[in-house]
Amino acid sequence: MGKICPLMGPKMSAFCMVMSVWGVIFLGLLGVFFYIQAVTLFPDLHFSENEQGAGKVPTSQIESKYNEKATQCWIAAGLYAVTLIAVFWQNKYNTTQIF
Amino acid sequence: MGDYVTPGEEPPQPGIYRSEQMCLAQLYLQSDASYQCVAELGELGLVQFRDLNPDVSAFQRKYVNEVRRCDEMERKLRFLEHEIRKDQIPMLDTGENPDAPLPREMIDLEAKNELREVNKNEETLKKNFSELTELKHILRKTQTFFEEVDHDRWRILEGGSSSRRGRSSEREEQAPLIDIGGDIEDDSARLSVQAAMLRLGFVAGVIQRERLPAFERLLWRACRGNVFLRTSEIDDVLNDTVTGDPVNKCVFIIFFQGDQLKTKVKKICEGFRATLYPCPDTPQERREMSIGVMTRIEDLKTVLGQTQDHRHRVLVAASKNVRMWLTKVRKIKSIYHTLNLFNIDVTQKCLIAEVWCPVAELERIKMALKRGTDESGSQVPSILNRMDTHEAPPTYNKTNKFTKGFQNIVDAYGIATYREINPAPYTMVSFPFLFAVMFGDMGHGVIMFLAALFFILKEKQLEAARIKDEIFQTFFGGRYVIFLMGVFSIYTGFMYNDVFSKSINAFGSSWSNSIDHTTIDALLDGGEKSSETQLILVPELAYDGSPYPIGVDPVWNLAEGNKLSFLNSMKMKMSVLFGIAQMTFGVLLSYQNFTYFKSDLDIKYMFIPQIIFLSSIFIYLCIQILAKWLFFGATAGSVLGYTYPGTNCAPSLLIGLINMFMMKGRNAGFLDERGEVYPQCWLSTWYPGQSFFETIFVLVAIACVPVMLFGKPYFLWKEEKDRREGGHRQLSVRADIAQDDAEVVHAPEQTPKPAGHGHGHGDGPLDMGDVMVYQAIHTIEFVLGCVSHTASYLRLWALSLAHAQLSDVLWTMVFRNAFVLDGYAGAVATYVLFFIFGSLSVFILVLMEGLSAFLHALRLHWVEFQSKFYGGLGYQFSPFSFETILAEERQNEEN
Repeated sequence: MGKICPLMGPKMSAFCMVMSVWGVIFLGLLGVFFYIQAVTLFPDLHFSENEQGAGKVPTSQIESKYNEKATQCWIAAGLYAVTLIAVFWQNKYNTTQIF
Repeated sequence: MGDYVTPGEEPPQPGIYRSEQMCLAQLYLQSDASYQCVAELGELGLVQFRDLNPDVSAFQRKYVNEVRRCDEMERKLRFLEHEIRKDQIPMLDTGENPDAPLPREMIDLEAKNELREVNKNEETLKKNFSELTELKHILRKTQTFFEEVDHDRWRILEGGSSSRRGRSSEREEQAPLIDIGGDIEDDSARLSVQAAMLRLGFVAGVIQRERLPAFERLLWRACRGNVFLRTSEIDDVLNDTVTGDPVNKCVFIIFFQGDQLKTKVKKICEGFRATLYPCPDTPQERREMSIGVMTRIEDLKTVLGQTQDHRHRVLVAASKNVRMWLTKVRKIKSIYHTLNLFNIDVTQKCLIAEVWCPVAELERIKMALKRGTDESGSQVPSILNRMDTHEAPPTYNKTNKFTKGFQNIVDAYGIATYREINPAPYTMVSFPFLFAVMFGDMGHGVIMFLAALFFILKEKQLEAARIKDEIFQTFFGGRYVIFLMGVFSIYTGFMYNDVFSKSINAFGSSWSNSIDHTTIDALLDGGEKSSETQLILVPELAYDGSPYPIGVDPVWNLAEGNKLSFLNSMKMKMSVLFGIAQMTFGVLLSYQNFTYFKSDLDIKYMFIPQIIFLSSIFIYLCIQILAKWLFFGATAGSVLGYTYPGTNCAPSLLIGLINMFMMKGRNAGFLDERGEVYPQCWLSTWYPGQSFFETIFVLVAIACVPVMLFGKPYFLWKEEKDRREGGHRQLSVRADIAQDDAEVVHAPEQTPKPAGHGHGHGDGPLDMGDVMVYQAIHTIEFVLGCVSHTASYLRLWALSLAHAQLSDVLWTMVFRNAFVLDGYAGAVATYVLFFIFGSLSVFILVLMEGLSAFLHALRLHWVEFQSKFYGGLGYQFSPFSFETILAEERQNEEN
């Protein structure tokens, strides 16, 4: 393999690999919990001033918010999957350089 | 007071609860067989040799020469290894363990060592080579100097002063070497100068470039400017003749006049370590010499090439074996070292050794001795003879790779006294548990668990990789400890219902919304002022009566107002329960020790008052805690014979404990005769007869103190007195009629005196002062310790609170921001913030918090738990074993 874009050393790439695997699992699960509208995640929802309006937020809006955050988590999980592939390639590239 | 059992008569115990039974034995080895026998014992690694000639210095021992030879050999091999490494030849290191070789193999090894000569030859050759190269450079450079001089001389002789005018316009490099005649006007003077110049002497040589300026200055000063120095840098990098390092050098040539200056110049050259080379005067000779040098250099190059080839071949051949040779030599050395500890019999035919060895392994040791004798071909068998001793044997706890980490934790505090209860098996359970109580979070537990699992699964590869990093080695060495800590953390995290500070509603919360929608709507529509009012779920209505099946109800995670007051109360009480349970367990273990060492006095006047003291105050407190949890709920009713009006009257245990000591009069029950609730009803007594019982408890506890303090010393004193009187009674006076003198005969002592454990009942007269001081210290330590240690266990609550809060902060302050943004920006924010959240979780919450929880768990075991029963006055059994010796050597090598 040629010298293509050596961004990180073996340690850094190993760390990033672990973080990405964790990211995929963690964010995937978090998305699931948002999707099933876990009550414990309610404090994490954020309603802007105009959404909140006159005090009471309608249930439908809360549900859509939950769904939106679930998608958001899954997208981030997808980003980590991409990162994982990139970092895996980096790691492989670096290890072949060493030995 | 009973005496000690002699070793070997007691029933065998499973190894891990106490240290192995040891015995002192004498070995009689034939001189011929001794080497083989010791080698076999070294492979076995189960005996500790005692030094039988401690007075003899290391140089006067029998096998000094052999040890010295081994040292020399080891040094040579290390040199060989160094050379191999320098030439970057891969070394074959299979890590195999060859048997200890026979002594004669040592001679073979010595013979093999031809490398030294090869090296020596090469060094001389290299030295020659570099000297010749230097000479070559000198000849080449001086040639140019001389040519310039000649040219100049011609000019001076022919041109005279006429050339002077033109000279100033000459280019710098063509300037004459010696500027003479500049100030001399008349011809006669010039002629004399010319004559003098023709008699100039010179020396040529080579000097290191960095020394040159100083050299030049010194020459100028010492010779008052009467010498002339000309230098030229050698462009090639030369090798130093001695060390072989690359150096930059300069050729210099010094012109001077007269012998005085010559000696001076030579001395200065010597002082600056300049090498002088003979340089012929005439160009003819110089040319010839130059040619000669060139041919010699060529010759040397071929020879050098051949030598290097040969050396390389030798090194390659050696590289396959050098590690094994090193292992062999180290084994031989350690064997002779051990033989030096032996006593030599008067007849010189047999060596006597004294060894400590585990009783359970005696058969294997005997087998090893037999093997050793057979191998050496000796007819007379080696003899192992057990001896009786009063010395305290060493402590030997068998470990495997799992128990080793925990045994190390215990040993770091102090090696157990011989045959004392070993806290390690209990530590294996309670250490990870107490750690996890402080580290309760499923998410962080899983991280720790997976890391340790990785270490355990990749154990072989990681060991083979020989990673030298100290921090890594610490974690790797404690992988089984970390593994258990991770597993227990997952469990306690499950009980606390915490995963990265979030709860899981696995079984369905027992709480439901009891507030009707109109109230909520009114609150929400109320606007500004309503945001400060909080609604409360009333337990009587919102709680369905059956608790959450296991762990903390997830509803508490959402209770912003009173989450902490609930968790704090629960965790604090829980810490007290765990702490007192562990301390009581420690005191019970001390009973095991006392029965094992058959010391009735300790049981009667230490253990029993201690347990009574502990029960009447602290275990009573635990029971109160449990009773409060069980009986005082949210609903009013009749509890333990009293009418209980509601939660506001749930008894306050801490103030209750203080009142118990103050023996303060308190209201009985929560209601007065008229059925009204007392003010401060939580201070009332809450079961019939509480004041009476508590008074009794306090009095009993106080009564225990003098028993602990004076009981044992008194009985020791009494026993001592009896013994002295009895001793007098056993005296008999035998008067001989025939002779004048009478001899006093002591009746022989019936019971052999125990050695080691215990205080003041060893040999010699009883020192009442010592015993009293010792007892007073112990009593005060125990009584005060019970109080302070119970308080100390509250760290379980404090650290667990800190951990939970920190992870909560990390979630709300860092990760929650990811959800403020919407759409794709939100996804990217989640991506970035998760990375930060994850890294901080690992480095701060798992590593740093984990370290602090580890240290606190360590303290709780060393101080709070082990102080109840553990002496830790023993010394470690360190058997003679090749395995440990080789491992140590390897470690030394790597550092």
